Amino acid sequence: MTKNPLLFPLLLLAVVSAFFLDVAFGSVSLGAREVWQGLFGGGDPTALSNVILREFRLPRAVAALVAGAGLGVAGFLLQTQFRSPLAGPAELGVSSGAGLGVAALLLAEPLLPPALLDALGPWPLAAASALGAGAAMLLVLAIAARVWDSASLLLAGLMIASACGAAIGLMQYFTDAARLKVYSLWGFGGLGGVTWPQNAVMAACVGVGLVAALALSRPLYATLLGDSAAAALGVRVRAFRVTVLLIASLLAGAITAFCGPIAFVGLAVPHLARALVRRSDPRVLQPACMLVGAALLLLCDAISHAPGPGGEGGALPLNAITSLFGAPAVLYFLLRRSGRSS
Amino acid sequence: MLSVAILAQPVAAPLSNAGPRHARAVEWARSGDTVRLSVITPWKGARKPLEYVLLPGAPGAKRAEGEVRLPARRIVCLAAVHVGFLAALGEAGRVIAVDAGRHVYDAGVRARVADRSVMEVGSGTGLDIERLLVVKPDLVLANAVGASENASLDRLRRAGIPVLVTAEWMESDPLARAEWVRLIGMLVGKSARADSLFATVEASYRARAAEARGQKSRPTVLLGAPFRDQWFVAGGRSFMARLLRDAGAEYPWAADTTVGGVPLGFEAVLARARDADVWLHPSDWHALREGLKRDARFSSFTAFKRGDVYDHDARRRPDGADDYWESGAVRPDRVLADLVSILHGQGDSLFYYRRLPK
Repeated sequence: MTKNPLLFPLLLLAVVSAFFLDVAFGSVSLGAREVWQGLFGGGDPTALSNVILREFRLPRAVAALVAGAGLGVAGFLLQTQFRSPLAGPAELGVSSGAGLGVAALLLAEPLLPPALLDALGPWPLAAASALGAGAAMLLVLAIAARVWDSASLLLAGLMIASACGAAIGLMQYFTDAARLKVYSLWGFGGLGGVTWPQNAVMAACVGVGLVAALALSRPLYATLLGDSAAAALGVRVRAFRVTVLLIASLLAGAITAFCGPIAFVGLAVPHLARALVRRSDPRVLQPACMLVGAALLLLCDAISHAPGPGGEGGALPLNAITSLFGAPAVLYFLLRRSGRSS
Repeated sequence: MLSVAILAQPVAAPLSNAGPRHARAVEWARSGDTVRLSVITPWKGARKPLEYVLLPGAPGAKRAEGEVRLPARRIVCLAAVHVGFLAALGEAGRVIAVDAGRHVYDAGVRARVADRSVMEVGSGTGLDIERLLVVKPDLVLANAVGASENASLDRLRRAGIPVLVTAEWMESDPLARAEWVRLIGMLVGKSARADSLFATVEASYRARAAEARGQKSRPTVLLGAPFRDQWFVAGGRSFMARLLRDAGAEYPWAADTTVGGVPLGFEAVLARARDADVWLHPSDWHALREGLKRDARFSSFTAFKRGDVYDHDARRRPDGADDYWESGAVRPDRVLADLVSILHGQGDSLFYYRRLPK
């Protein structure tokens, strides 16, 4: 399948190792035995180490796993559909659209019956965010129908992002301080606040999105050959493109709902995956994006929670770490690309 | 009984001639009619003090930099704490403008904001200089969190309006913060009243602290709440750590040497304070139910499970103005009395504090 038959086993190993690394280290240092008991049962369930593992580290690691895999594939779908190596959920204004959805929901919450909100749990947040993401995506698509060069498209994404930012700013101006704070916390992005019920909703949405994306691998491959070639192979190009972008919205929206905007993962992972796989076949590339995305986000999260020199550590902002990895990676691929084309 | 005893205590000789006894962020010395005032640490990391000269009488034709003419009759308060100091002296009537009415707790000033006899002029880059120039205040009282915020007040200074940047918030001792009322007293020509008020507060604070020292138990206290999974814990040399020590509490980070906040992971805080007896100042939520909604893991704390969670929101208006930050700055004795009651008594008859409802 790939040039290196060991690639997928190695990627899987990387994900598993990063998961254990993320769970094993945090601002409190725990022994190997305590980590083992926390993961696989045993010991007193109310013991501090068990509480820390089950209520803090495991939900965070699961969120990193799910969000990393989902963002990697969302970025891949965007890059193929917009034929731009610089497309990603954040770059096309999709994350900002999700933010607008979240801000609108937070603003509307006092008007909705509390009993209804309690009953729906984390679903309204996921729905609002995915709707916002979808709306932004369709807007980009509408613009893309007129301009097909990737520079203009990115500029359009930037404009959508700043329009969403302005709308959020106005909403914040007219809302009270407590709601403002909830939103600004969300805006920082991070995995530490994702609870088990939220993880379940996020995993369900991302699961559906990933399965759908994998199922569409073959027609996705056809569209890589160009619209006319794809049409000749029986793909209804326009409808297919909308479907793919809706899948990407579901992925990016559900993840952004609970983790906030996460920088660079969606943009950088497809490039990393391509460099490893060295093939453009989505049937190979998409699983690679999932694994690379999951491993990368788990690793970034582990670094952001690494214990400080004094032992009692804090939590670095996750986006600082993902940007630290992501920005140079994207720059490297850009430079290599332009070197090849010149 | 206690309050009578305190009021009956003799008030020391005119204090204002002497410099501050508790405050560290300010120094003043009187010679004749003139008071040389130095705000030593106007903000964190300030390189040099802000110097002022307080002189009696109307301003001369040519005003020197940092010159303030006394007594100030028409005062602009750009922070609610200044309203608190003036109100404690019975001089809130001198306030002619505030940054925003919704930041002020004082009922009188709010009523005058509502009938527009007190103006709202904004703050920072949103400060409405033109309106301030029209009303010609004698003095603008402001806080500055850094050099750039202080520089934004330069537009006022250039226009010939005296601006005094106070730094009571930089004090890490409750009595030091309260002692700033003596400076405010000098500014409005009510030094004697301010000195006697402060002496009363000081004696009352010491009496409460002595009461707390006599207690056998030292309940452990957890402070604040996390931003997602990052918890800014008040350092061991902070204002709150000092207040808790005086209230006879055990503070898990008492040995820390930081004045400000220490960023810690949620789990690190849980590891150290899971079994704390009392949880103070979650501040973002005002009922346990709301807290659980924010993060279900709060129920891992013993204090949360028992419902021993308190915040200083008993005197908070729906729009957020909190008297704890206003009159509480001048009355640390009342704050301490609340804490002693929460930690060693029944937690009843609280003034600023409130046990959060389910």
